Amino acid sequence: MIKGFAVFVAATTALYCGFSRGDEPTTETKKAAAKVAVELCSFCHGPGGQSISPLFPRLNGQVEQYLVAQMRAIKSKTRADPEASEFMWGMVRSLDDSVIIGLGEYYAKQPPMHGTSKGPAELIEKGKGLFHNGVPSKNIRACADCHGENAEGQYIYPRQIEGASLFPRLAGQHSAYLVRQISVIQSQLRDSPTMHGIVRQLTEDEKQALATYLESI
Amino acid sequence: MRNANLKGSWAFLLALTFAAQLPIGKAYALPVFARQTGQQCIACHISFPELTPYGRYFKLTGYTIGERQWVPLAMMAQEGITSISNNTMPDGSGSVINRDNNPLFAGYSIFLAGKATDYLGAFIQYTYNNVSNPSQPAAQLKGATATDNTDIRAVYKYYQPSEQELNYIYGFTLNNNPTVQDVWNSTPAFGFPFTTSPTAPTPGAATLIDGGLAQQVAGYGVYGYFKKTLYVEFSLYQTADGMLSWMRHGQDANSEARLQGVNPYYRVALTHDWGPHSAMVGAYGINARVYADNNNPSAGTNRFVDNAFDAQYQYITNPHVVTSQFTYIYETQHQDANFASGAASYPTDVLKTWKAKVTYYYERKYGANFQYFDTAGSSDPLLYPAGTPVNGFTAFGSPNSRGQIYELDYLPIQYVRLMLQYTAYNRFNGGSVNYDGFGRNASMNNSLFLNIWFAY
Repeated sequence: MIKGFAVFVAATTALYCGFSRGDEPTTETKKAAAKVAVELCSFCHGPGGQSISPLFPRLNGQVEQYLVAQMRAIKSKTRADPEASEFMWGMVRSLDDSVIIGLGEYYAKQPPMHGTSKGPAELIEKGKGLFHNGVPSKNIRACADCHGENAEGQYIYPRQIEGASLFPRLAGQHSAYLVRQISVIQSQLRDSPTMHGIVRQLTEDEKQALATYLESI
Repeated sequence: MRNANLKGSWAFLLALTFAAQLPIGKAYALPVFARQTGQQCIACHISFPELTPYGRYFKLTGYTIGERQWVPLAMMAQEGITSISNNTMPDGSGSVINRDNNPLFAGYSIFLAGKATDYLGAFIQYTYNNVSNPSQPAAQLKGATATDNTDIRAVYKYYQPSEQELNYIYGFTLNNNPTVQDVWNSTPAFGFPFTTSPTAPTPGAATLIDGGLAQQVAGYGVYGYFKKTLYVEFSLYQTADGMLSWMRHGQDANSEARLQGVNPYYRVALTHDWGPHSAMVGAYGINARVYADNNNPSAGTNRFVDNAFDAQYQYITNPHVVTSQFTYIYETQHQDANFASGAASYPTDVLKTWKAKVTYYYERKYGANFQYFDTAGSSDPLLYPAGTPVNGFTAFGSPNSRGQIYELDYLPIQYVRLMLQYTAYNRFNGGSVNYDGFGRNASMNNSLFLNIWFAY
């Protein structure tokens, strides 16, 4: 009994304490992260992550742990879709993990992205239906189930980032960027087993509708 | 025999084309800037050397982004075949150009480039030109090495603590070619065409700022880019003498342009980016006094006042890219020395050039380019003399030339470009038909150029 309790306590402690984000950012590394964000990231991702070019994702208000996981994956080349290797690997390869965490925190704290453009009403309506209901006939589940009712993204414990369930914020993201990401996941240029299974049957029209809706909210 | 050679030559290029497509793996070992930044060429280039917005930022910040390389070297080389429309001299005495329809190694460059410190970076090119005297008979062709484009920068960045982007970039440039320091590809130094046949005939008149001082002068100036909107630069150019003489190493001391004193250059540009679009409108110019005789300063100088308007537009998405550049250069030539010595017919001449180019790329791999160019100016029979077959001007000394360039590009890997370029002339050195007085028409100088361009 006592032994079993001790194991439970140890496991619980490990779950909530041992699985930290990694090197916690200090004031100095937060400053370093902010400097990197302003002097480097902002040229493509925009001030505070509010990018204007659809080639580069908006980062403001993104789920912190998702950002950290992506930067780590790009740095270690476990995320190797073309854009990750062509543009981003060089940017993150020399960043300390604490600066990466600081960048995740920096962008997560920015006012979240919201729709800046409206597409055709019909397309938005179709995308909204896909987002909230999926495509039952093709066993495509609703995006909202994981990404949140308002596509705000979410992070599900356990607290460690690797292995955790991370769902990025999609609301307000560039539609062209979203279509591109769904496509590279479909073609497995970007490794994402869970998402691949869900999106692999989406048609071009469905991708465009979904992305148009998400950019509009 | 000639046909056999011809077939062999094109087969050689086709073999190179095929070889370039062989898979050699996805490499991060790219030219020096790519090695420094860890990014691939397309981060900075639409297709080298045309810059993306990020590429412009990289250059404006003095080539300092990324990790300093212990061996900051890169190289490039070109080999091609030129075929001109009519390669027979008007009197039938021989060929207009050497090695027509034969593969010709154009040369190679070594680059010393990249970040020195967080505030200092450089782009220094040294080139071996395998055809330094293309007008000589084939047996007398020879190569030569020379300093090529050079741009050394010191840069500073500033932003308010409350700001979330870099709003002020300012710096110092030391370079050897007016506009080589510019970050838009509408200006001459890095404007289209990015490479041309080393042997095909080219028009004899061009404005001074359009390559007339390239690699012959030393310029130093200050620049600033504010809130991603306004770019301003002011530089002074002088003859690259003394400790700066290395910047014109390899130039012919008799024929190079030598400047009197310091000569002002200006550049201003307004930029705006929105969505996948990036646009610029600007102006640039130089006011330069050039010695009429390099070996006799007392012969005096001629003063060239060049003022130019330019614009650039880029639409960059994946997979489609469309870009366009335009420039109009108006040059007033004060022929003070030439008029006095009888080398010019009038004390003042005018020369105007405009060029407009549009590019499309698919997946940054397959490209098509079109450029229209037109140079026109006041006729001056002494300045633009007749009497030479092919390269001479019309009897009344007109500098006018006009034509188009059509170019197809294929980049099987990002640091190899296969290029097929066709240049067509409607007017050449003043005329369309029998412009040189020896029976040669402008269209006889039309050329087809197949080229392979490596960089590593």
